[in-house]
Amino acid sequence: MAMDRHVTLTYRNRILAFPASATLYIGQTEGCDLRLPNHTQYEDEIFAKISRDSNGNGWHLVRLTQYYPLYVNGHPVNRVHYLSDGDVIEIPGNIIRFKVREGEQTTATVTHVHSSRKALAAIGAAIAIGFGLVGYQLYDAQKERLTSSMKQEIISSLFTTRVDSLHLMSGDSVAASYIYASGPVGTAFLTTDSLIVTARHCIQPWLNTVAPHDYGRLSGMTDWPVQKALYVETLNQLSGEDSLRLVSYITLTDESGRTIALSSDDFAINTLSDDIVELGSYDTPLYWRSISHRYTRRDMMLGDIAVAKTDKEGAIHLADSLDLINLLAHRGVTLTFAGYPASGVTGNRLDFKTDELRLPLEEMPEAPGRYFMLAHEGALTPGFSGGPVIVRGGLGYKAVGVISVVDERNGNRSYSVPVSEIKH
Amino acid sequence: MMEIHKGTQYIITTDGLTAEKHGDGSVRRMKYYPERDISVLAGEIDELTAWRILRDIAAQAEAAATPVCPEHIFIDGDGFVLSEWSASRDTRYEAPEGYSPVWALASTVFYVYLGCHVFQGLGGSAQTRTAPVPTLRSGLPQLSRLIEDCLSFQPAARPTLAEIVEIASRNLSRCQADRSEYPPMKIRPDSGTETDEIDTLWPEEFV
Repeated sequence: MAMDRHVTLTYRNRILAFPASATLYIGQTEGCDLRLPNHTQYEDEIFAKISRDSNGNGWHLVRLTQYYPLYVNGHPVNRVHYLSDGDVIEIPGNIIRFKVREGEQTTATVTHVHSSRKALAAIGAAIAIGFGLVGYQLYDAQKERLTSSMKQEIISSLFTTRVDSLHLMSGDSVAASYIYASGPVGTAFLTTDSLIVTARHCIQPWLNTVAPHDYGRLSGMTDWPVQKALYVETLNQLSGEDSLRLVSYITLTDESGRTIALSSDDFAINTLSDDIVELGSYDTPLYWRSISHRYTRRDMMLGDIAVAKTDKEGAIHLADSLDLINLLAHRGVTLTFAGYPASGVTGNRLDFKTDELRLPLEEMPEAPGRYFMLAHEGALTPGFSGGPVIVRGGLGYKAVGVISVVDERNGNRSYSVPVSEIKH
Repeated sequence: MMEIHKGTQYIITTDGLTAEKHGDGSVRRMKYYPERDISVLAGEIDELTAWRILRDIAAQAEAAATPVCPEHIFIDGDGFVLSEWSASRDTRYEAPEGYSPVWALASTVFYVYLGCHVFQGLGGSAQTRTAPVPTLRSGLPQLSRLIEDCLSFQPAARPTLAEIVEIASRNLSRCQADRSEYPPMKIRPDSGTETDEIDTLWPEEFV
């Protein structure tokens, strides 16, 4: 199976190894997984990308440049070439060997191979790869992984979030209530600015219950929160006033067992990015408020963030826009995720996971200072939502995102809301 | 040589150009397309390629029984071919009233251009009379307008396949003459030194 294999690209004296599910870009621009030198007078170019086949059994190369020829095993590539183990990819002046290797690779690594005489090269390469892997991982550990003390600091500012009840409010009056026997659980964190930050769907759980492919049967769903959310939005849209709202009561609990009780009214959320989806029929319209109803993926769910002001100070620094640019300067930056994923019968337990930034940080062209969702993997599971995405920089660390969503249809690619959305 | 492709057996004959499908014992011959279908190009095509897909497939869709979707469109050199024998339907490319080759072609081009499906992959079942029709890039007015028209809720408001061929041919000529899609390569402001991202050092401190 593809997940028991990984791919390597050998270029000059380097072997770059990538997870099986990774999409690799080969080019001259910063951010390319395999970056080639540009000896020409022309601007940098992205030459190709290598992706896994949809059936998971192989890989293909897609040519992305119109200016440079691309060859595989000496044959010119028109648009697509399905790769085999050992294929040689040639871009003028650059020879890259594509290999499929056994074993799982969870993150991208690079190994230097020292060239020497053929007889000694194999032995030397084996030793160099061994030292190279250890050396690179030590380098990585020193420079990009969190230390134990950093993790302890983060833990002290981390909470599970549990929705205990929902209340349909008409003005200040409670029209109906719903008590969760065992409410949905996410994660929240406390910043040095005394802000409690979480994902919006952790305090408005119906947002997580309904995906776009459920819209067709939304009116028939019997889930109380979904029913009431549909009812609230429909009446508010038809009346033109926000006379109804759903309020949730939430309990935050830290690792020592201390709790904070909040309501969703205590949180600030940005509804400007919300989509009001029109359903039903012309005669009986229904309206659903969604934060994920988008045509392009990377600007969806930027509204999935909620912030509450408290009188308590936490240990997690929030990155500002300049930090985001510096800390997320290229793909491959190590990200650490902290949260409380569900762990079967033991409930939600604190966990840290790491991955790398999969796509470059991209500023929204129409909104300078705002960025699209951060893309990564990291095998995130329910319960991580609302947790911080941490990047280490030098002697410290900062939160650059809030964990939001996992796309199971896309190789468990996950997304986080950049913290720059807090001030928007 | 035998190759498995999406669960169907092909045998490449010695001339290297034809393939035989052995499913239920019947034998059919079809041309072998080594670059297979256009689904792998999702998100990576340019305007010129989008017009080519529209022109080529609109010209073939009327006579073909094959439902239009990315998996049924093969890359044939510079052009594109609609598969002759695929019969599976994909609801992501079905119009509100059922299958429509015009609607399917537009949603296919939308997907291959942008890399995401119209109506979140629900197809026409998610489209209502008043739902806004998705647009492509604002910088592609002709292509966006055609895709919007083809995705109209009312079948009568959509162009015909013949009209799509005519519009696509005209815009192909414009793109090729204009060459705006492939401007001359830009000179770098400074040659700089060869940089290698692998050797880039992590900054010592926050700025």
